[in-house]
Amino acid sequence: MKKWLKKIAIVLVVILVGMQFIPTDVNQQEEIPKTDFRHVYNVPNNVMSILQTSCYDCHSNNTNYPWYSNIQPIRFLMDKHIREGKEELNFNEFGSYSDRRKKNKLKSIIGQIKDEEMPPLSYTFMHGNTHLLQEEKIKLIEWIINLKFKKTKKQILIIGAVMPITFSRHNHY
Amino acid sequence: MKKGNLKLMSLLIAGGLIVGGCGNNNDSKDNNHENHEHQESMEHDHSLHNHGETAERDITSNNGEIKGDLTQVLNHYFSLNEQLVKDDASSAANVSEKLTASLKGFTGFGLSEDEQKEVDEIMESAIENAEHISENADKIDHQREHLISLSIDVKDLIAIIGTSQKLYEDFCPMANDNNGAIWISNKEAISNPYMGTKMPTCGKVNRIIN
Repeated sequence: MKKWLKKIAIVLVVILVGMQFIPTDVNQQEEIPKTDFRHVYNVPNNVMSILQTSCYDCHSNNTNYPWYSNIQPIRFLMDKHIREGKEELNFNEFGSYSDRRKKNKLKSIIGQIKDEEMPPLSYTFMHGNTHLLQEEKIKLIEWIINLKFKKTKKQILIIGAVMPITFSRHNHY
Repeated sequence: MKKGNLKLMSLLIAGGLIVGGCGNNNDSKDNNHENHEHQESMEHDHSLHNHGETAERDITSNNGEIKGDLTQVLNHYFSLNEQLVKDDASSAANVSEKLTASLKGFTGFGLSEDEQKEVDEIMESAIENAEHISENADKIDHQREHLISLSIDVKDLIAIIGTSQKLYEDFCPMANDNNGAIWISNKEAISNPYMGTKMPTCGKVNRIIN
């Protein structure tokens, strides 16, 4: 029985060590391309910094890798997140999207944040600083709504549904 | 603890909005009518907002000329809507896979350069929306979110390509977080894919596409 356990332990160690040699993707690019989101819209600094901290790691060509990203299998998971994230939405390439697609994306950003789908738990769990605070969500959604259309009473209600305390004075229903 | 309370509050208020916007007796037709009259006053906002949000085409811009066969695309789209009316997210996902394939297989003919470019953009968006619907078999709200943009894609596609079918552009003021959303139907009776079994007959015909 004890021999058995020892064998398993050795196998596990070998696998873990072996994993460290898996080739990794490097998603890094110094220069900010002309098609970047910040060149498409007039993005205020506070909104930009939220996007950069909580979204750009997976949704751009430049990931800010933490030290533990060099350890497998963490890196493996991270690479997968980044590949999938960029395919869905790449802020660096936003300017090259058609108008139709830009609008779809803005709408999806609001939906994903509101429904707490993004940033995903599996990501914020490993990268605690990327978690969006309630006031950051509001700032972001409010800014996108203002960008998308003239704010009507109804749009204020959307924000109201996200943050009832702050915006409850707008709820006339 | 505090966060939990916040969430609960937002749920309650969001719930309150839905009930407030919809009236309580949804099964009664009379009530639905009243409802729509009530919503009518805000209609103006919707049209404004819709124009601001999408580079929508005027659906009457096609003078009866048919520039491609949309039958398959439309049939899959209608059947997707039927599944969402029934709140059946997993069938909706299956149908949407077929819709994706028929969108990818579509080619128009006799299109001007501008029209072709627009069709390409619509297709890119429609395929993306349809793929999302098929990938989210467990999230009906997410599927419905993508149906909003997909319906605009389908509508614009019909405007350029044309169709021999008699179709209806329907509108639900409560969909899209009370911002309203359209969908295309081949039946005159309202069958609302956004509200599902909660309020299947909420909505009205915006216009008839002939």
